[in-house]
Amino acid sequence: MNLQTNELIDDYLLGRLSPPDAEAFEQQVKANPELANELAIQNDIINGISNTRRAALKARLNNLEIPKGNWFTNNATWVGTSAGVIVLAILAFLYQNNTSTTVQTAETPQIPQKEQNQTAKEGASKTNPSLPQETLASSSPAQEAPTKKGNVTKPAFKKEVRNKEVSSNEANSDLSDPAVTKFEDETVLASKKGSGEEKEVEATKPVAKTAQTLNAETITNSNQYTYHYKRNETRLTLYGNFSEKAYEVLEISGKSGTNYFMFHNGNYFSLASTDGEIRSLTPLTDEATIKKLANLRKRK
Amino acid sequence: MDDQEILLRLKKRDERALDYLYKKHYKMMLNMVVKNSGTEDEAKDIFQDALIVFWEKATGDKDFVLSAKISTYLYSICQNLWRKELDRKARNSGDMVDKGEVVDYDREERVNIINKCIATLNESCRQILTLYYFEKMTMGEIAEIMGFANADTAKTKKYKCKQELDKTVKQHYQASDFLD
Repeated sequence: MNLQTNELIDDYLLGRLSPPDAEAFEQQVKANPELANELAIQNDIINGISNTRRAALKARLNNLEIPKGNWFTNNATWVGTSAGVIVLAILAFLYQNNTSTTVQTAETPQIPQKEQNQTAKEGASKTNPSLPQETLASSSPAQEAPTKKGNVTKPAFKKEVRNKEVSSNEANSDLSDPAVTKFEDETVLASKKGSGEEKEVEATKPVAKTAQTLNAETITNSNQYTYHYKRNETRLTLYGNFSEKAYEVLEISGKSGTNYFMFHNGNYFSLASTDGEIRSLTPLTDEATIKKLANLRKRK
Repeated sequence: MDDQEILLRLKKRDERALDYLYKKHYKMMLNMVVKNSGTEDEAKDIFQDALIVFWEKATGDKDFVLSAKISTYLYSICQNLWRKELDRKARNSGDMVDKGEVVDYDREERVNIINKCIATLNESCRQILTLYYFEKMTMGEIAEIMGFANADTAKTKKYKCKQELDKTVKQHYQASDFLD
């Protein structure tokens, strides 16, 4: 397909053609199977790009802390019960984390003043159009935001480190890029649950000699990076609030090396190496990969 | 923050405005679904989807103006999505299974390949393509956000990124075809 046809397909799929032009294009498609096939592929590609973005937005919302409250206001018994459960949950959470936590109670969220003063430059981010801007000119978030590293005396969740052989008959997703999962002849070396307080994900007793230890840390109060990660070799930095819901890092070793994935809040994420670059955590959307990771999690 | 200001922020793709709406209307929207036979998880899912629909409307349609309160829009979107979900559940339950539905395995395979190829794109290309295809930005806007010299540079970059994605998709799609 030439450039002109590609642009025509784009314009058609993005609804930028006038009704007569769109109709004329549809006539062309009907008469040209090759063009029809190309249109179908391009439609799926655009949907794929859009769905990836939707999944990222959804993951962002899913990761937000919602003030716990008695939203079942029409049922007095339930309100009493839920309040009791919430108190217990908060106490358990504080006990488990052994760290200071602010429990939000306000019903209407407040946007910090700092954020409200910077609407003019909202769209000017060079790294991500929708990220807060106030930290762009300052130091890196890793420098400005204190990490929780070293503050924790006790892991918040029970550690699970197991070794498990996985059948080599697992279907293989056969793309060569390291970011794409390969499951054939893989071994789950370690899986660790964390809560944002967890520091070390130790791939203890790996089956393969090449297995690595992943050192994880979380940065919870970066203004700019709210659900992001950075991985350089075996150093993983997670940006965002991981204290409410446990995250789990899956270390999978195979012929192609060691791949890391994360399970958090019902979604799976690839923790492919970013070479020091901070990237947004985007949930995997490929159903086959998700299914395989879910199976591996169950079997570990 | 009033509705007009929120809309302005959404139009500028400020995700924090989305966070604000989520927190502000969470209870009301969840209540609606839960009172209509939904679970809390389903309600959360529906509300998140509704917010994304509203985001797409606000960012993608330059002429979009509020003719009602944002909460009214969100409530209405939630209701529609939940109705569709209930219909889907009804279709998939018991005797109402749609036996005539044909699963297009070829397309499923293609979609899987496309998702994997998107995941392998470099961050810059993924951003450019997202800004163009999902956020529906003009080349001028993309150039400003990405720090390119002008709209022509953005257009060239977008073209190269798209070409790279198309090429990878087709390579893998054809390879998979051949293996079949």
